[in-house]
Amino acid sequence: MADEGAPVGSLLRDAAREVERLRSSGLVPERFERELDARFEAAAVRALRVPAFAERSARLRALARRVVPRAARPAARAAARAGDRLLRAAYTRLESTVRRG
Amino acid sequence: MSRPERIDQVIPAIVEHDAVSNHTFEAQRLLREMGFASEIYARIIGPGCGGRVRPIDELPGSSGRDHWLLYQSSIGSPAAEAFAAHRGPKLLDYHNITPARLVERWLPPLGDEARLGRAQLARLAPLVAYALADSAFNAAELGEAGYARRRVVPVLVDRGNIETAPATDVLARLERAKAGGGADWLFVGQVAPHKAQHDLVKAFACYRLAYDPGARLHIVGREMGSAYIGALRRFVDDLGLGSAVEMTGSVPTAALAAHFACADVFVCLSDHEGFCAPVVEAMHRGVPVVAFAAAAVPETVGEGGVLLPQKAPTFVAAAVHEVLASAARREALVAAGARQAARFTLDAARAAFRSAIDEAVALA
Repeated sequence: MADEGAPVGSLLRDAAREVERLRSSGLVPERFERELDARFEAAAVRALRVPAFAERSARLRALARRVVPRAARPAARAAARAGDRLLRAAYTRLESTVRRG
Repeated sequence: MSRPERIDQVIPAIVEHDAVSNHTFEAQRLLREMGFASEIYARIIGPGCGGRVRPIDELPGSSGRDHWLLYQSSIGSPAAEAFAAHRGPKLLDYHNITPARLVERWLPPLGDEARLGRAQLARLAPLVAYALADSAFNAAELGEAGYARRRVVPVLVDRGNIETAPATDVLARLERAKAGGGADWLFVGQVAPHKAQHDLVKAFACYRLAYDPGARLHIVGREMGSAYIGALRRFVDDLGLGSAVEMTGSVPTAALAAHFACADVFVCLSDHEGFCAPVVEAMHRGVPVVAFAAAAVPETVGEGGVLLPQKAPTFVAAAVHEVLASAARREALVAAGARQAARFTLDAARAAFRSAIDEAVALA
């Protein structure tokens, strides 16, 4: 950005100073960032634990390619995605129930 | 060599609201304007594209050197094998292939396809007479893969994405929310791990905490698989941001225009982009851009936005705050963005495409 009065360099320097201010004031402590990382990783682990039949099974995909006529494939793909969502929802509900005891 | 009668295109998959697909349709229009017969052949044809695209199985065998093929390369596919087997002269248009390491955790088959794509790119190099790349970043990768003749031709941006008027119902909804206060962050792109929407949510959480508890984040784009968006939704809910973060999925062009019209800032934290057409659309529509400087993003943003050397959440939040807190800075960014977007107008990209095809024909 070449405009006078608003060069990117000064904006980035101001942003870096802001980060120091936010951290030293305790408004956004460093541990908040670490907590965000940990929370997303936890969400990722749980999401990836849920079976994703339509996405993961290469054998199923190969079979589908052999038996589903080309014209029917968009509809079949949509049905597989819907089925996958249902399976995921059912698995998640079951898992929550088990976790709650 | 004599001028070919037809230049057909081959593409692994073609869908609506997709930059490479839009580029392919526009390329077809141009090839026909240049006097070539031209059809599009795809292995996967998405809803809404059926009448304009033919299945790859129908690709005619070459009748000689007057039938050329142009391959749109962005992922590994059996379509590349059909392209390789064709006897006529070949062109390739490279849109980059997402590194497998960024996606395979979430969608293992896509990781395999990405690896296959890189291998196919190298195998096709000795067969391709001339290659196009939509950024210098992509052209450099083509050079490493062994493509001797190559030229940068920017993405043929969908005119509709730039000129369509906002959908009034979506606009009214977004404006009602805006009237209650709070900034609107926007990102447009496939919901996928390499686009790093999770980093966007982290930065947005810091921004709300530090500056603007009423801010909203709009994530617009179709989802890639269900695992990543599942994790993203879970993450958003866990942070208590369910009412502040909107994930729209794929939207019609007019709804997209409404999102651009109401956005205060376009924030892109992608780890990989071969071009990033939505950044150009944001600059064109007067939305200031803040983007992580990864892959081809620095080239596309140029001096038209804020390029971040890192994307620690608090740093991103502070940078967005610096943009939005100063009217002078915001206005300067919008002006710089407009100048940069002018480099990527459809007319300029069309001229570059025509010139590349003319050169390829002259050299062959």
